Amino acid sequence: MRKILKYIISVFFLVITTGSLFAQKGTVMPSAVRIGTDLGYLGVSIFDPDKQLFEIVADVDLYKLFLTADYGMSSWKINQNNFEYDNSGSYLKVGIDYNLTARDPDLNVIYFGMKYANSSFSEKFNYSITDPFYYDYSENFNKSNMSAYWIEANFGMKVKVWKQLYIGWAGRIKFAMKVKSDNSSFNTYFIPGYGKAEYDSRWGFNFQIFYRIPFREKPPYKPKKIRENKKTEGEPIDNVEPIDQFR
Amino acid sequence: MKNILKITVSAFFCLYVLLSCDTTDCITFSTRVVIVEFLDSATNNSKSLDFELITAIDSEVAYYSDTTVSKCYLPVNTEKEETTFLFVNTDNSIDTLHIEYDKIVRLISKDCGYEFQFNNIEIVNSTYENAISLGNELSRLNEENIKIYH
Repeated sequence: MRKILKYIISVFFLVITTGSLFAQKGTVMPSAVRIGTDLGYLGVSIFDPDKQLFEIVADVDLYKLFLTADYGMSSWKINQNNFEYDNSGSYLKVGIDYNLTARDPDLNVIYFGMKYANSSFSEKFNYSITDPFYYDYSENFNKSNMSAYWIEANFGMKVKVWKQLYIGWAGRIKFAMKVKSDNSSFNTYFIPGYGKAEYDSRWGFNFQIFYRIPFREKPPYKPKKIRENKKTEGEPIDNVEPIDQFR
Repeated sequence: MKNILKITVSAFFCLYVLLSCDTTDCITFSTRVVIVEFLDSATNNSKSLDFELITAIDSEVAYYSDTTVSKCYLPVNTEKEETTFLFVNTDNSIDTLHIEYDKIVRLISKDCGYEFQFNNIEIVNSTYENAISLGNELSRLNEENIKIYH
């Protein structure tokens, strides 16, 4: 829980800092942060007693770009007769999305982008073997302080369903994964946020729900009409009423 | 525009549900069996030898007894990263073959379980003067892993 709070505070700090930077240049004005979660993960956490997944996702609009961040936590236990596996950890993904529908009146978004992801986790594996040739034995592996990073190319959409509520999906290709090397004989099995570690690249798919929290009334960009007015009549931007759709 | 977006989101939700099943192939080629082949040092051809017993240190069973073989299939000790095989000849003399290897434990999936992978097979010590390890990973696809010229 503390981690989530830390994350939310960091996102807001990022929003405010970035927003003020761009505002100073007078080119882009961030207007809202959209915070959401993955519905599929919630479903898994409810129906699969061995898996606990939670992800919080956020984006901040910067005209055609979005600053995005995902933070997730996961734990997974496998209990079988002859082996047990336990994995728990968290991950953070930060990146930029390009908005293909920057002028949509409902602020619906179709996007593609890139993310850098980092995961910290620990995993335990123990097995017992009934050996038909040698003696029976059991072995334990405990890998703590593990980490991995990778790149994600993502695409998707977010659609307004009611007031500030949005739903969306995100498809992603995860690649260039590098897991921290260690001397253990046990191959890292699962990386939170990535998936099975033995694959060099993974597909991912998320079904998400968002709530948009606007923190300024102005639209996230200067509408064309106003720019044209400024050009012809030389009127300062602040004196121009926003076009109807953004009232 | 809005309707198109909503339809697309719904369609991808259905796709998401369909793709959520993660299936893993349980079939792998890894094995714990090292294949030792005896060859005639003069002709380089396969050579059959008589043994009273073939086993390994720490092993609780005999892999072969009172047999004539040119190729033998010997399970390694999965707990350790070394195994010493014992070849008891018909005159009761014993030849040894001590090998070392890297062991990797790989969890395949919840349903498939785990497996061992053995790489870099090296001959540390042997009473056979001319024993050569091919150094390959132990696999069901291998023809042989160790050649002993006799």
